[in-house]
Amino acid sequence: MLRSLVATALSYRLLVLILAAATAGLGVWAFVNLPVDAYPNIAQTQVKLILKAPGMTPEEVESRVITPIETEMLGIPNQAILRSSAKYAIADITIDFTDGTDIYWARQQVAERLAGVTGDLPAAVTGGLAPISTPLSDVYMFTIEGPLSLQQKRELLDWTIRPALRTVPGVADVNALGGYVRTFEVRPDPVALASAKLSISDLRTAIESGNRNDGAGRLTDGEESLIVRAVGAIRSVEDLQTLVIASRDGRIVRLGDVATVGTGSLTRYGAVTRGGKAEAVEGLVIALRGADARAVVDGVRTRLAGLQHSLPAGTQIHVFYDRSDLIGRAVGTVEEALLEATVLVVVLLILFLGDWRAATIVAATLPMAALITFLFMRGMGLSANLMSLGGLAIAIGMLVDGAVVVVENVVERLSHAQGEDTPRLNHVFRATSEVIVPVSAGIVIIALVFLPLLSLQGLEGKLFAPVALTIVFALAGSLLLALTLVPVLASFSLRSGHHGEPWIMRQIGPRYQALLDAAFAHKKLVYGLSATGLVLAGLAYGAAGKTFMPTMDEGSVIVQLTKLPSISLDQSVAGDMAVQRALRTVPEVEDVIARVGSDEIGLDPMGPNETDSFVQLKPRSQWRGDKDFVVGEMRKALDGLPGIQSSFTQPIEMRVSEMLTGARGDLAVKIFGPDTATLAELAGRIQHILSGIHGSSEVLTVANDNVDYLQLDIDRAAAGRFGMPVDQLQDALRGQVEGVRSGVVAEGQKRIPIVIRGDDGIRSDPARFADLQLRTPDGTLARVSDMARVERTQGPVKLDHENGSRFALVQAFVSGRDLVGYVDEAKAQVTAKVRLPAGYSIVWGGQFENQQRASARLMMVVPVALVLIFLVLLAALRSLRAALLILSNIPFAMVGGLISLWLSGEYLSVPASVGFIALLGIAVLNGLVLVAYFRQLRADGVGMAETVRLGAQRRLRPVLMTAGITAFGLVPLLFASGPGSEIQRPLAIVVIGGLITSTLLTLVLLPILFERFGESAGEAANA
Amino acid sequence: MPDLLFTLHCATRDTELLVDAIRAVSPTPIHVRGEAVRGRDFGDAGTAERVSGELKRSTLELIVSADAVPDLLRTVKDARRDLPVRWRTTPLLDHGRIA
Repeated sequence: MLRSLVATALSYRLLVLILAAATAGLGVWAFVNLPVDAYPNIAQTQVKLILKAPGMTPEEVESRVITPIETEMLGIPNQAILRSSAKYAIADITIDFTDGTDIYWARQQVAERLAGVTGDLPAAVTGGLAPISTPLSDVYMFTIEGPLSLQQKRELLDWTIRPALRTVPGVADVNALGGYVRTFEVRPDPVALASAKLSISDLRTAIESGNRNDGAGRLTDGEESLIVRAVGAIRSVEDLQTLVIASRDGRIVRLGDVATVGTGSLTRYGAVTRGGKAEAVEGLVIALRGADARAVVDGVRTRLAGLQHSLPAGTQIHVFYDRSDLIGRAVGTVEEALLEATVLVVVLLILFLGDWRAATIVAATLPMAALITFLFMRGMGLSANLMSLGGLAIAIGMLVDGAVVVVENVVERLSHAQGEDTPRLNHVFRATSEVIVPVSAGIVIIALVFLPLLSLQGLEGKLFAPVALTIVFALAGSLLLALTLVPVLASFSLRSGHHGEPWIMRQIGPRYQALLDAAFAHKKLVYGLSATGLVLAGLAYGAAGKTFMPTMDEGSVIVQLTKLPSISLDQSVAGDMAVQRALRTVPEVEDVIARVGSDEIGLDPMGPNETDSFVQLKPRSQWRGDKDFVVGEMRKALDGLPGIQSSFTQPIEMRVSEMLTGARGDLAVKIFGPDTATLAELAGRIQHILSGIHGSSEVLTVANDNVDYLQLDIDRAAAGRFGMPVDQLQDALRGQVEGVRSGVVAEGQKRIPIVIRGDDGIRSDPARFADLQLRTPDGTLARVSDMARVERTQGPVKLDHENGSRFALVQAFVSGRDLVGYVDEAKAQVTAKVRLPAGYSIVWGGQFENQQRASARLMMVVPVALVLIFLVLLAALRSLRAALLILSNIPFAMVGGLISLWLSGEYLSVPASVGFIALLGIAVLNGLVLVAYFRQLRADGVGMAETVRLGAQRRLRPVLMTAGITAFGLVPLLFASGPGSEIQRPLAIVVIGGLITSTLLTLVLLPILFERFGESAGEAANA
Repeated sequence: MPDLLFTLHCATRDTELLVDAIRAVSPTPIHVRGEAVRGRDFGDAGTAERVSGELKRSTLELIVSADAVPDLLRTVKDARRDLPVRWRTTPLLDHGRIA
């Protein structure tokens, strides 16, 4: 089949050229139109429910909101995990589905079940399914700057900018943070209300029923008809003031008589501050899952530019995070590496082939294979990102292997063809046919070694599947080209006639000959050195640190701040500004924008004591050191601030850890158990143990944190005597503090809520609150303190559940040490020092969990790949001994990889494992090249001693070319410094280091081993 | 005029065309045989045949009188063939048909 493919290609050369040009054109089109993002889509199918329960404590949220929903959701099919978290006024429920579940199906399931349970939830609970977003969704962040007040800025964002941006294709939502949401505020005067014999619920009913425009049908007026419209909607503060709420004995009571009416703002759950100076209003554009991030950002930018002229004078939009910067730099890093690798590969080709025509033909396959890969990527819906383009960069040296072998053989054959009258096409065909089996077996072997990556699960699977897929696509493309375009181009441009040995081979050849002779003379020394290498590799494996994934430098820094849990929002904002002023003393910091508490949609529901500070850094050229230095300086700057704990992360990294474990941190220890107090005590002990372990940068737990409560224990008998039902008492209290919504005022497009709530004096004075007089349904007045015992207590900040069970979380950030070593030590110490009561258990998670899963999966899949490679070798060579001999080359390839990894100080991570996998393929290929030729020489009747020497010498060039080109193709990745280079560097180090030892051992040890073990006694006798 | 065996070697893809052309000028039956030619004379070969080094040929044979040969050759020459053909005539000593 492959032969007839080559024959057909050579028979229709013009057609092949036209097809190649068309493919190249389509490939360029595919590349230009590929969705571009910094990272692959790493989100699992996740549905988030965010419910707001105004004024409710975490315990109420847990028992009245989360528990009924959890009970309903636990039965949904394909569910992987159900996590929930109850905080003050917020219920956050996350349902992860198994990979491959359709997100729209999953959302429908959740929505159906939620609809079923909504009736059981308290009436004030609002919210529902969060937008379809991923950790990569925060693509664009801006603040509104100018002379407007915070309330006006917020109104501009809510009612002008947000609706405009939501129409941009690919935008899931625009989150509005900070500032004040304007309301019409009704503040009842308790005394006036009591004397008018009215309660807050009377006010609410009156406002709701007195605020409506409606139609009444049509009237006929002669020949015309009139549409009847009854106008009664509230449009202004005056309308509200004059609203009649009661009419008794011919006297009316207006709202203005019993309450102060004015403009106010909704109770704030969060705020945004900027630059240590003042509060700000922030907009955050959330991209839809699967949207082309670059296109979304472009659309947002265009829309904002269009809006700019309609903004009030002096108002500007200040952008402080733009994902396209990261995308540009990440993709730019890989594209640069690709370009440099291509140049290096072409130079090597010219050096090794000594024929610029041959080198040009081979070099032409590089862009062609890349363009074919882009076509495949587009077909498979892969985006161009760090990982997929990185796959191409890794493969670049391997892409030319097939073409090199074909061109080399054609050059060889044509050089002997002078004087023969056989057509050139026939020479090219025969030369290509001869190498079909080794070329396709080689490429299949390399593709096979990458297939295990497709079986990885979780985050590593989502990151590395695109790498494996692009490599496999690129290899398939290169094989197709090697069998079609390469022979066609060779038939056009290669000349017949004798070609001299290239200069580089004239230099290396005699030296290799001498080395080989010395090796055969001192076999024991060679064996000894190889064994030493293996031992050293074993030691290096033990010494090298192990981690999941190197941290990718996104170029941005987020400082997460945690303050005392009882802190008020205003104090928290003041603390944030102090932090910002401290951070701005670091010269590299340009600006700091921080958000505290919960956002408007509730996608990131933090407490008022939690802050994410986004640090804008100056251009790298103005830095005094690297990023670690800058972070160190920031850490130092924050050292002196009391009551504020800080931890450093990056925008995407933060979202990824939240998505994976629901927690931030390298290590997340979850303690499951029923009782909150016991959980808090255990969490405290574990936190203490972890803090003492070398490598802990920050260890946090909120399990021991308590907030202060003003608890009202309702005395049923007392409340009953006043005729006050418990629920009405609770509603009245909420109305005084949190406020009760009572309809909206429509101002054009805007919807301004009407809120009834207590006086500021009551809200800021617990004693006055206890003295508050409420009107009971019976018409009597009763003091709060008469109906309930008022006392200060403490309660939890947050209650977490996983699959319906309570747990306490301890998070640890690790720096300057490998994660696995840290976790091992932590586990040992915790097991020794903490005795768990019955019914309690500990689960170790976080980044470390991924590393464990990835290595377990690779342990299982790599042997399977080895068996497959063995079968391919067996099919290609038809000799068990030869196949085993080639496989024995693998450990020696690992030697260089492990030693170079250890010397460079990089950790053994998933990318490094991918490097080992690539190395395995190349080592096997080199072994195959050599052993196949040995066997051919033996079949031709050459003696064993001569076979190994002659064969090794003749195959020196292909072995050196394959190894050299692959290694040099990776050199640009070693020196790349942009985002994403952290992932590719360990891989490049492993492959380059491994290729050095593997090539050396293939060329020196393998001939010796083949002479000793290559043939059975029977085979040797037959030869 | 003596009878001759007229033999024509043509490319496989020209076979049908030549058979039709010859039948138009000669009533005698034409024997068609497929052949593979391996050799070094690639002057007559098409591109695909040069690639594989193997010429796919058909041999057409018919018995004609000597004076009909020029007509046949003209017909073959005028036919819209793709590739060159080779021909020869061989004198027939005798021939017949047995029922």
